Amino acid sequence: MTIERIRPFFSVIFAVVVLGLWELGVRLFNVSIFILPAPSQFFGSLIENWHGIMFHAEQTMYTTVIGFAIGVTLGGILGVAAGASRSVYQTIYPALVGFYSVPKVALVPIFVIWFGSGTVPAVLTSAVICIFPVMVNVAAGVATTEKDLEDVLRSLGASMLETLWYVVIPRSAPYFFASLKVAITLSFVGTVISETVAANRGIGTMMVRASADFDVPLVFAGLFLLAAMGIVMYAFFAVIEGRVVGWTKRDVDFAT
Amino acid sequence: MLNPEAPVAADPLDAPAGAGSPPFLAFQDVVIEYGRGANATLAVDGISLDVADGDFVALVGPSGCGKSTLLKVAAGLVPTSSGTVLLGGETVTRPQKNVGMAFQSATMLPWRTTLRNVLLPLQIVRPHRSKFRREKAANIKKAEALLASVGLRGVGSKYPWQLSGGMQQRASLCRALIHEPEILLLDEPFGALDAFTREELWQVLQQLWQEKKPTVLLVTHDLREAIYLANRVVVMSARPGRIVHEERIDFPRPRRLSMMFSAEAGAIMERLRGKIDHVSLFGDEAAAGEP
Ligand SMILES: Nc1ncnc2c1ncn2[C@@H]1O[C@H](COP(=O)(O)OP(=O)(O)O)[C@@H](O)[C@H]1O
Ligand SMILES: [Mg+2]
Repeated sequence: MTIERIRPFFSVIFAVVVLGLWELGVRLFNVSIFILPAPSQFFGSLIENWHGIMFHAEQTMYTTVIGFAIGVTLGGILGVAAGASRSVYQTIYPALVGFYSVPKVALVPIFVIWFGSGTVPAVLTSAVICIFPVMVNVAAGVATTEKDLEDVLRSLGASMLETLWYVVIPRSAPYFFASLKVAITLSFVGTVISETVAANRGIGTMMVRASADFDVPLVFAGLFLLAAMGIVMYAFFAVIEGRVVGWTKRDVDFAT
Repeated sequence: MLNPEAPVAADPLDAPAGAGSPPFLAFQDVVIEYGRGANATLAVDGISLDVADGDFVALVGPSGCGKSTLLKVAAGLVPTSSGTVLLGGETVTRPQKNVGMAFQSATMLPWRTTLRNVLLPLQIVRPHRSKFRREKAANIKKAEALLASVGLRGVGSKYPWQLSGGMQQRASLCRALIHEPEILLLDEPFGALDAFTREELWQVLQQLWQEKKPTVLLVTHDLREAIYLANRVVVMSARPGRIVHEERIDFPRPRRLSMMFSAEAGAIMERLRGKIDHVSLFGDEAAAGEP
């Protein structure tokens, strides 16, 4: 058996080892369940409260995906505009940097004033948090597109939009897909932040209530679920990335 | 001291090759300046050149003399600072549909297979674009035939980065030809290739030209290439580029590579080289002499 064969499982082995050490540590040192529950305890809580947790998880997932979609769309459009036009870049960039520097949790109360508590502020928080990384990446991709490649299209009489479609966008696609993996995990952060402040459904809400009830295993079950959802979505976009922009990998296997 | 303008032989330049018919491509007192103010670069200074329909003209000159610039102006990619370029009787102000262009680097789109790279012009250029989907099978067949004609049979499904530089350059030639342009603008298309591949592609290009008779303007820094391929070789001076000499090449076609070893070809080569050396000497002298 070669090391290459088991390499894909290293990450799983690593996670299992960490959880195992955690379990061992908690039992060995007799840590109180109110401070740090053992994995067996919060997995137990996860199974026991499965239906209730799924009720909240569904909401979080749904909110995140919608917010992510909105944020990525806006970020993509802004990125193309900023990358393609120097004046757009110089006009909007400082404002966006300023906006992005504001902690997103500070925006939630404003969204609540405007739209009431619940799904809408969570969707918005999740959206605004992922606009920036997508935009910066896409703008970098657009701005570094080789002039020669654009000339190939222009010499055929292609319009600006066609040049964008046939050259600039495919050329920036790798940057875009790389940013999606970051954006989706940030989107979860945005959703949960908003849920902990102003919502009555969602993993964030559930964790706040559980901590008020001193149900620490449930809090950790929530954390674990968030981590799991983040990994699944990250992996999902990594697979899509590999399919769509595999040409950047220049891996001979990919072509045929 | 000699006037640097003196070598411009008025005679051969004023008589277009296909005397009688109006030129298909005409540069008229073209001046091109890049940038503005203090860091402006005068790339091309007053070029007039007529290219008859179906003619094959090679443009040679020291590097940086504005050869690529001139091609880009003809393609409508770069505007003239003064003077006009006429293509088929109309002033070129933007890219035209009947132009095929091959660039100094192969410029394949890396996310498209070779076949889809070659098909690109058919997706963009009118009237092909409107029937691209309907005639997909026919288009693919055409692209594959073209690829086969330059020795790239069966590589259509490969990505550009899976091809050698020479293969990419061949494919880029196919892309320039697929929409059957009336004029080919070729910018040192074989510059980056090894000698054997280059000579092979000369033959391929000559054959393609003899079959379809497009008008060709070929930029090259290889005098042998110019003599082997062209009907007329036009020599440009060092930057700012001016036309300083023209040579007719009347060898019968199809030309053979062995032709290059004939005394006649040698004499032409000598003359051209002399003009280019002459030119760069002048350039240096002028630069040194000026305060
Ligand atoms: N986009 C550009 N901006 C500014 N200067 C340029 C640009 N393209 C070319 N030049 C300058 O114009 C001159 C002619 O360039 P070019 O046409 O590429 O020469 P050649 O193809 O004969 O080597 C060179 O001095 C070059 O530096
Ligand atoms: Mg050049």
